[in-house]
Amino acid sequence: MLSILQGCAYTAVRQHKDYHEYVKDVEYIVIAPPAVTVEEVTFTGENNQLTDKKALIQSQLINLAKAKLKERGFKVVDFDIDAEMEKDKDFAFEVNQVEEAFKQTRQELYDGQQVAEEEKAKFNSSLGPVVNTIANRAGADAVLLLHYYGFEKSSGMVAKDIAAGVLLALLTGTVAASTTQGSQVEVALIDGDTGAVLWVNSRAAPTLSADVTSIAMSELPGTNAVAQNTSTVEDKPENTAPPAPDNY
Amino acid sequence: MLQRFTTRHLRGAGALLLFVLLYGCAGTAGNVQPLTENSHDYGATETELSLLSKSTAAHQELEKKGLILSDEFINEFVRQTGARITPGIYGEQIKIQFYVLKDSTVNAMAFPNGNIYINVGLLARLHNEAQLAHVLSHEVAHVVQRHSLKRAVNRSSTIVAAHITDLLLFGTSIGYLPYLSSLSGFSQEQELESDQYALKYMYNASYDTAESVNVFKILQETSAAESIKGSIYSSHPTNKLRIQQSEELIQQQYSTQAHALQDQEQFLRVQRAIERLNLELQLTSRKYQMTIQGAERAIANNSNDPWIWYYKAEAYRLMAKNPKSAALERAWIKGESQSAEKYEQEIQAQTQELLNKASETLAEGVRLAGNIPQFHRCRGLIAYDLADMAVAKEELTKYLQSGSDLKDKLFIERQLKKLGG
Repeated sequence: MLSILQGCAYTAVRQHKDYHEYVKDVEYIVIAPPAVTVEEVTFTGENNQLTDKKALIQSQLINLAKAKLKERGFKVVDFDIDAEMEKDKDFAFEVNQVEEAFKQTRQELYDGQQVAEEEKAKFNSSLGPVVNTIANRAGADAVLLLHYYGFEKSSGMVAKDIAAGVLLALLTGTVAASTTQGSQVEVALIDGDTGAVLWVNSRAAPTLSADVTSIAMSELPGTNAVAQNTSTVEDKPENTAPPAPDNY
Repeated sequence: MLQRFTTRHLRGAGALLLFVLLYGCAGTAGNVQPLTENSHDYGATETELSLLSKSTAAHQELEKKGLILSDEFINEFVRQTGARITPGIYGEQIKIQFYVLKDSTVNAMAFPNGNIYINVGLLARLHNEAQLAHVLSHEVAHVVQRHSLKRAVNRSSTIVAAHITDLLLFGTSIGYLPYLSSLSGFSQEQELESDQYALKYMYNASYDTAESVNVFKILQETSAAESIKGSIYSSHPTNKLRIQQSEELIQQQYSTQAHALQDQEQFLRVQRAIERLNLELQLTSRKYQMTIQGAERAIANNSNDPWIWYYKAEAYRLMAKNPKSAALERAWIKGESQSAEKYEQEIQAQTQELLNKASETLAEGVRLAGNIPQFHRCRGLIAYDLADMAVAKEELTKYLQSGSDLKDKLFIERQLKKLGG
């Protein structure tokens, strides 16, 4: 029974097929400014941006990500990308292009097909050299991207949900639980030289806090992790061909 | 019991819904005066202040992301064209300002604070200054007529109606989603009204009003994938209606003057600069087939820019490298999202052909311009994909030696390392 359940386990993790090869060259990681949206969902449909909470969550995300990366054996470069973007609009655009390229790559990584746990480390996607500018300027070997969405419902919206729940209960006898807040995070580690998407994970939680980041990053393999299911040198057929170019 | 409750409840709810929907139709948007009237009370209501504050925040976000084009020549041209068509506005609180956005989608937008944005993707599709004047006039009309405020006033009533519907649908939100709209989303009636005012503004500024019809024709040719879903620049069914309305109005009131204002030389300079940027942006967005189409349009317009050939060659090369992305794009263009897998197989089978096309296209660029550094880069990467290691090494080395501030230095160094260089 357990093996059946395990066999059916799906994951949001997408890992590069050569993750362990790439990570050998990754010592320093720079964290890109997290893209954060925190809003109050209101009854009128005019959702309010919660700017104070957004700023707080932004700094918490960076601290949590830093801690997790260090825990995994990486070094985090202290480079204020936000300040550089402020000074140099061309650099700001380059950073935005990295986000744009990731958005496009996401379609490849999450194409509607579910991925089983044992299939997660077979990906080969890349943002291409667009990421070079950040890595070069920060002196980093890889770039960590963080995307966060959080919400809380206004009192009016909560009241509406309760009313809807009551109606549903009256008609069906079923009491539906409705969340009043929630969050979702996406974490992506990108190779600074080639733009290869080394690792991505996405997690959601029924709370409005940055903690969901730690949960998502707890699955990131560390620098000392050994590749699973990789064949030994003896197993490999003799191959004299030069290595393939990076996928971009 | 359940049946009795449901019937009685639904009857009452139906009456309530009817009331709310009728109430929703009787909005107060009719009291909103355009900015060309002395009696306008711009910024006097909380709704409008909220829209203005959101506009400011959105503009700051665009600036922060470096999305606002800083090319002074292009900006000045757009600003001057915009200034010519902008009507007199009462009051100092509002200024109409024009910006070009580094975005390859075919779109333009107006914020209620008077900021007008035209995307590089739309600018690249236009043929002359009068067409640009039409696009800017249309957006200015949204601001002058305060369409965002009118929509917001109407929306508050309709959204309440939507929530009531939502309650009756037991929280499935089926009736709620269509009511969501963005800061610069307008109704079809408002779009048609803006088209009418656009003709007036163009006429007053002595632009050739017939070019407005040509803009609609360009938009009709625009692939759905090039524009933003829901944008007026993608609403193909409405273009026929827009053409018809404009043709009638031109005939009745705004017949083109013989001395129509045009500065084609300046416009072509703008377009040459924009074309290159647009192709670069499309490549980053993995719109390979659209890059090829854009390059072919530029070439058909007698562009002698060797970079156009470079971007076209890169599009072929990247299609071969990223068949999955290319397949997703093809499925998107054709509106067949289910066919992506089939297209991926097709594109994979064409790898060699695509790389050959990339080589041939690049050769045409070399014939025009000699060897600019990026040509070495492209040729080196094609050679690597074709497993011609000696050529790959030689070309990529030449590229690296061409300058110290190359944006993709790390990427090329890594490829050379793999090649044993």
